[in-house]
Amino acid sequence: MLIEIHMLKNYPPVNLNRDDSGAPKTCFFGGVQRGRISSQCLKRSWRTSDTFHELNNFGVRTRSMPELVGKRLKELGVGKDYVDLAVRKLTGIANKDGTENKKGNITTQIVIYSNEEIERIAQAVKAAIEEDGDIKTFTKRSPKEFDKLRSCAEDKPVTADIALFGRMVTSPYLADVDAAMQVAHAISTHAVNRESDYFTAVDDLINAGDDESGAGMIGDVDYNSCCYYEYASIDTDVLRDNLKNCEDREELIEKLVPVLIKTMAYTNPSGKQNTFAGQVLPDMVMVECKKDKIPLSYVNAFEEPVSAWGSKPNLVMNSMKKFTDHVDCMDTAYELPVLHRAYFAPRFADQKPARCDEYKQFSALTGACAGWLKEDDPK
Amino acid sequence: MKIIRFPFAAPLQSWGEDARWDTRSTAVRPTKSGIIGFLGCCLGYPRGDERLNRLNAELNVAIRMDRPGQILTDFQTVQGTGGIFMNAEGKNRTGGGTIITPKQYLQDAWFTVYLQGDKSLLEECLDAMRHPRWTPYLGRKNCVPSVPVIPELIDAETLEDAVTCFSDADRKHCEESIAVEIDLHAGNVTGNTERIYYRNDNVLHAERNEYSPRLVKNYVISSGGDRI
Repeated sequence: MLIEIHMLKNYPPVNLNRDDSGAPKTCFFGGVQRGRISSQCLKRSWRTSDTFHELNNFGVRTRSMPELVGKRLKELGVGKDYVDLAVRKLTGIANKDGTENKKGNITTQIVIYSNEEIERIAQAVKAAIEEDGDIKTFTKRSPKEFDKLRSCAEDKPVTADIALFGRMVTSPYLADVDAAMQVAHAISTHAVNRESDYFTAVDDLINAGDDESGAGMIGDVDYNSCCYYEYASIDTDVLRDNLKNCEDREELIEKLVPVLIKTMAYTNPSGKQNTFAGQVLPDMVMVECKKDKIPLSYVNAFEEPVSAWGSKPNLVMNSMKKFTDHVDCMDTAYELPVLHRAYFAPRFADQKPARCDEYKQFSALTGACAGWLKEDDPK
Repeated sequence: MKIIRFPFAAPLQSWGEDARWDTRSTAVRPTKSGIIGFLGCCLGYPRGDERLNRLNAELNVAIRMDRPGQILTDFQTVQGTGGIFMNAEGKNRTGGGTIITPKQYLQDAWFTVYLQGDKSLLEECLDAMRHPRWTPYLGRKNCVPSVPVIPELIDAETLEDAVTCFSDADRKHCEESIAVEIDLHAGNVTGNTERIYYRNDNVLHAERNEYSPRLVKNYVISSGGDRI
């Protein structure tokens, strides 16, 4: 099935995601300039957030795999000489040439590893050491052979973050993973202009009247304030397939979807947050579930931008009205195969789509979404 | 003959034709390889599958640029851990621990795609697009359609005729003069108001980034359907 998550998040002045000139990212939509948060920025903020880590099933993105394996080998009782050699040889993994990395005990390519993968590598190395019997024979093993020891790339268990967000590696010994999630760039429901904060840093000690007067430093920071429409989808068949080598796969998936929705709601990108502290929660969360995977972003609700100035009763309410009208219109016109539609909008209870299940508590919404997975018919 | 048509409309979409190295560009209209890839996603054909080559050979494509859109270059960066990246020699990359990988998109574009082929093949595609095996997207995974990509089966003498039919709903989003690009072997070379050129987007082996040239012609029509 296809699970689609829609949110409206209204921010105070912030600069969450900036372009090469330091200004908040923008794009044109419906012929009008909008604020934008790139999908890569959103995904990273979710992937690294504490809320997401509640799942406790993560990979680490690193080049320090050799050291991690070395540590595990020591725990398994392997002797120091062997461990040091193994660590050096492992630096050649995921390297096209298969030669050791001269620049330290790290691999040349950064890859996400799960705990199970580190364990498997350690076990494979230990088995090789036992097979060789002495350090001379072990020394002769080339890094390329180590690649082969771990060539069970196909049956490697993959962690939740890799299954959701994907992984691309150019070595043949680690499998690429196609992301189960699609995340759109967040776009503001209204037109945006760039605003700039002119600031000075005043010296605490040097005063006017001394030789130097005025500010110690002058600068400016660009910002804007937007109500963003965010869209993300999860293909549960791809997710299930990605997690095929995980024990407790179904249990993990049932926990994963509500944790992800919660993460999307609670997490805000970290760009310039020390300056702006724009930490908000969504005013609207709508989650849909479709049997036929026809993805649809309701962004066209905002093709004609919501009027940001003099908006009555207010910007968010007008955004929600356009949103719910558009959902109803698409529902009727296309007869979309929506099995469930959960809706949550604590501030504006009267504004909701014609066909939906309304939830007053956010946890009730996420709980309901977890329940849908039980009906899922794996392909 | 039978033809299917469907919209490719989204706030952002991206069709790489000559996109390599750090900056990934987009062409100004969908590529045939991108369209075949979209069908492959719906049909459940993985990258590099031979059936994709068959689809490419047996389908003729026309693209109508209802709304051409504008190019957006998204500033994207990838950070190295600990501020370091390695180069292919295993040495520290000069230029620091962040790689800049700009990505181009077409913003605010709306294309109507027409496919012509055997009736049974078209029906197979139609069914797959209504019940996709994997969730499709318009070029990149973050390019989510804003109009559902649900195809309709229509009757027309030729692809050229099909392209000139505008419904009232179509006219709402179309510009006044609209460019059309058609697979050349599907039509005839007529008149001198046509530009003929090659696009490097016939699928050979997508996983290895191998494409062969496809001859197309390009001309402009009004929203009334007349040639300009």
